[in-house]
Amino acid sequence: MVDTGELLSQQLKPPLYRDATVIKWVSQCVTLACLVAVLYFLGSQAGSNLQAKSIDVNYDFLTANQGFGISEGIDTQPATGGRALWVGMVNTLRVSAAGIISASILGLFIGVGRLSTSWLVRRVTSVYVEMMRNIPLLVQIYIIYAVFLVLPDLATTQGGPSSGLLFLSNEGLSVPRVHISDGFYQWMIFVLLGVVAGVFVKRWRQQQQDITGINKYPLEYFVLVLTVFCVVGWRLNPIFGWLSIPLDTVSQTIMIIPAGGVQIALSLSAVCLTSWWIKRSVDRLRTPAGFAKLTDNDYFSIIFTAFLCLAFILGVTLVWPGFASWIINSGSDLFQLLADKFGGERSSFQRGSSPPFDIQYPEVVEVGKFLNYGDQGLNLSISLAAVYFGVVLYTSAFIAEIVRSGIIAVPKGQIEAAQAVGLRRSAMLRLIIIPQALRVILPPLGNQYLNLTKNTSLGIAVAYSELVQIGQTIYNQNGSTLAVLSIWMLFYLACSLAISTIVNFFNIRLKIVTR
Amino acid sequence: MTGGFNTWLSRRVWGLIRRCFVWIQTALCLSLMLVIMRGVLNFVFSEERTWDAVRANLRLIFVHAYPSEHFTRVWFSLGIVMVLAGLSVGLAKHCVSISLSRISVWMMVVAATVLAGVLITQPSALRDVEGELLRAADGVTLRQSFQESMASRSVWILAACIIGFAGITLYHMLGQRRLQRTEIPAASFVFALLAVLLASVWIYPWGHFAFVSNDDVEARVALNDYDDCYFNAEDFSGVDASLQTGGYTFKPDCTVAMSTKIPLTVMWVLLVASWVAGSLLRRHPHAERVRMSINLAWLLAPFAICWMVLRNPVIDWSQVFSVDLPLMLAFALAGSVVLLFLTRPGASKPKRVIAAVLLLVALYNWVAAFFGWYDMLQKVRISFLLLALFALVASNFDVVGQRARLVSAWLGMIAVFHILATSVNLPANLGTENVSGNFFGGFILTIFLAIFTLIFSFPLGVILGLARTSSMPIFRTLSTTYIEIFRGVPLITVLFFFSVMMPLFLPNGMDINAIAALVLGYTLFTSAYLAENIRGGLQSVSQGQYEASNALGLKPAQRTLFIILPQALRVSIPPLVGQAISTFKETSLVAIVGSFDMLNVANSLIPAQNRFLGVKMEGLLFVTVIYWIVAFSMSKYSQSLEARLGVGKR
Repeated sequence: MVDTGELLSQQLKPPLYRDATVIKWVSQCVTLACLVAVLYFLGSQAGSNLQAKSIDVNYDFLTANQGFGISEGIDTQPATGGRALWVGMVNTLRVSAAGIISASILGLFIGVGRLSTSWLVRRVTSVYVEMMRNIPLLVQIYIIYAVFLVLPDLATTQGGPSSGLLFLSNEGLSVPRVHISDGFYQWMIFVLLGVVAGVFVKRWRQQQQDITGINKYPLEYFVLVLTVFCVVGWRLNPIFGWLSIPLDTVSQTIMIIPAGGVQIALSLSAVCLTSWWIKRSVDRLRTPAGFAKLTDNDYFSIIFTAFLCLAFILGVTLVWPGFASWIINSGSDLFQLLADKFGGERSSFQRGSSPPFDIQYPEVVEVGKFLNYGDQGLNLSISLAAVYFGVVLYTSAFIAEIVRSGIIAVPKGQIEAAQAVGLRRSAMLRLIIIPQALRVILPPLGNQYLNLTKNTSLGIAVAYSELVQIGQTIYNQNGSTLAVLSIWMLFYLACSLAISTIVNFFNIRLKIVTR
Repeated sequence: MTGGFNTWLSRRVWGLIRRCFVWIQTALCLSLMLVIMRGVLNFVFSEERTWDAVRANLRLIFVHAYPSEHFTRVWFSLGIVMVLAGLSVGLAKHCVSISLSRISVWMMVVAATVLAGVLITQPSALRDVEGELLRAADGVTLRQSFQESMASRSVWILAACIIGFAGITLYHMLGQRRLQRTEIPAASFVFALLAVLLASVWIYPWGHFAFVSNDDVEARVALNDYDDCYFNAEDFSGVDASLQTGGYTFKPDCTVAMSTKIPLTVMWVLLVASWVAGSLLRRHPHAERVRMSINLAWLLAPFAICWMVLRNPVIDWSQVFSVDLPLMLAFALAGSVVLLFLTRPGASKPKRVIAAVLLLVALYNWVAAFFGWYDMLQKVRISFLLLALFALVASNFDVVGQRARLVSAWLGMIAVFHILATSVNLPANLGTENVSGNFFGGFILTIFLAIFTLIFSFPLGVILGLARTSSMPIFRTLSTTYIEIFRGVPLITVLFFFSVMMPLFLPNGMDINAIAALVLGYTLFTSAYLAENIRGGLQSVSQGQYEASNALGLKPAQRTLFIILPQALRVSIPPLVGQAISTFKETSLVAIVGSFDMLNVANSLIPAQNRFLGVKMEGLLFVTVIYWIVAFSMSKYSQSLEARLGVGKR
């Protein structure tokens, strides 16, 4: 008997230009080629335009002195452009972190208030949400900025009762600055040891609790052990000063490694990683009989991975040979830096015990005719306040809606069961509703955190020195717009990656717990 | 003993607190609300506010430096929108309605709020004969006593009482006649509210405050018509780049100018009349067809209005007769002949080859244009491409009745396109060459950016969403990269790129308008977000739908267009409206890159005027209210849409 299907498929085999696989790959490759061509054209155009205007596109500004001051941040007179951008990144992260925490708390309260049993509370919170999320963030930031501008000026507030500890004026808020001092890194070792010991103690107490059924306070014991280590380390931290010697040795050792060795190691690891990945993906497709039927998509991904590996090796060895020595130098520098922190040339025993933290009080200085805050205190400008309150109020409205929908998503039976067991409302919320609601809440919440971080870039409107504002100042000075843009993109992409990783981590944990 | 005491304490005290918890949180909320309300009211009605800054600059906020002799165009465009809106609402299949009892409750709430506001607002300040504030020895402003202030606010109290009384009466009447469920169309309620506002424009002395041009000043002086006017050229600097000199005029005790009252009334009448017409048409057998054409009109309206608002009305007739008209006729004729030839019944292969050759030539024209190999009118290029596309589908129309349909579609297409192209080719300066093209701004810029961004980013978003869910790895990778990059960076960096760096990437001699560059940036940014929304919709379509359409033998394109996309888009309508709201709010960011949208006008133009130096809050609050009204009504619409589509309900 003739296999009709096979015969048919042989007879009906379509011509090449109507073959689905051929069309699929040709169309994709043509699109890719067109895209690359257009981008290449635009890029070359930009290159020639830049040359015509004699603007050099490079990253020289990272190491050159830019000669501008920054109104607030960890360094108000940065020595290089790179340092200035770093100050901007720290400012962005600072306001984002504070904003995320505050917006979460405020949003949680308002979201729960939206479901309150009291009519008025429900109304007021929903008015809040509708107000905040329907007014553009930029408008809110401008309004808050304008409100803070009418605070009294420094001359009138200087003699106030809080003088010396805290200043509030239209220049902003100045509070005591707590900063890392000499003993910090030694003390951090104590803290780390404390965490390790605490985890062990906690596990032991948990075991006891599980066996006996009596509350053994595992978490409380963990906190206690950690506190003891922190307190002891506060005075005893110089005993870790000897760590500078091995760290110094590591730093010296790294310098000995030849650049070629690093290149070879990188290439080898790339090859190993690629072949392992390809082998794994082929193994996955294997049937129990041991055959792997690869589709065109699988071939593509294998070729693509191999291509990426090749590109990486070529990049490391030929295109950018300095990369290897850059790794060596920066690794060595890192350990040298740590060695210096742990004592360096000065022996930490000679210095005696030094606390890990230091405190400096705010001051008011006279800059020309005007009064201003000195560098000693931690100065929070009204620009910072405008951005902070703006993003917190705006994002909290969205978070409130997310929290509300998460709570609504909890099945009604759960609440009824909790009531039947006799749980109080607060306990019900804490033990039954929120853990289940979190599963619904977390993914959009991560999105909101991401939005908040990106929205801090609006600080440029009120001259808050965050990354975008400093980047703009730099490219206004030397025209290296594309380089600054690439740094912006890398930073924000890294932020979004970090936030989504953290959120995913918790998401997975929650899922395992509930299963 | 102590244990007993503790138990007693926890039972009694905590039990009491727990029982009263709702009341405690209500009381806290109420006091917080009253404090905030008092603060806001004190701020708004404070004697230190200069609301004249807003009244005098309304024109600046809404249309920026748009030349006043062309205002008719703006009103005409608004009229088109009103007619379309009225017709759409009237023709809508789902008539949104409000119950009368709900309206009566609203009236009571409004009355209560007004009364509370009257009671808690700080009494007004006392002034002397010259209008200066009276102050005590320690500099504190002297204020009216409580009784006096209540007396001076008697109008408000009266209004609140009337509204509240009307509400209560209505509620009672409905209750007695068992009519609580009586419903009226929501549209008529909105029209009534608008009518009240309109009546206030005719009756209430809002006053006449404006910056006027030098010509106006001279004209009034010539007519001796400046009794109540006050002119001061010094106040004028920094107001309006198009008017170098002029003055500030205010007449506090009159209603607004006729040039505002009459168009507003006409708008209201148009809206209501078209709504009535639409409601009458709803039951008509042709209602579906009318609805379709109105939807089409909505799609075309932004382009038509953009042309009407921006283009110079002076038409070069010699150019029209020598070039535009012959071109159109030639394409109409030649195209019809080609299409008639291609739709002859018979073998289809050579016809397809001809169509493919046409398409290749059409595409080659664009490549040649990009590299500047030979000159050709853009219009010709586009017409050629259109012809090639028509030729491609021609072989499907070789039935007797269908041939004429294709050819008439071609003729209509070429006519519409050529008329539009001819009008778009007019210069975009309204004869205001001295303003350096910066006359476009204010609220219309905000609306312009939002609408065109959405129109352009929607198709791009659909393509990206499809590519991201497609089975083709290169498309998927490209689309994912694009979406993740644009979603990963803040909008402001994208705007900086397109406003600062865009010119660098263009070929020599090519130029892009600043606002067009911004629209491009917004479009690319928004499409990444839209793509994610559409991807959500695509993923919600069940696998069975794909399998069923495969079983029917549909081609992938047919499957996507007719089976998958309609279902996916229906699911993603609410998030798409949400994205539209964000886009509307995000248009405010152009203020940072230096375009004068309404936020930038309020934030930096008004405070820079000599007359209103540093007056910022008033303008910002006014702009806030506008943003809020638009965004809030859109979000309410989105909620009702969500409820109607039943998305998310199982």
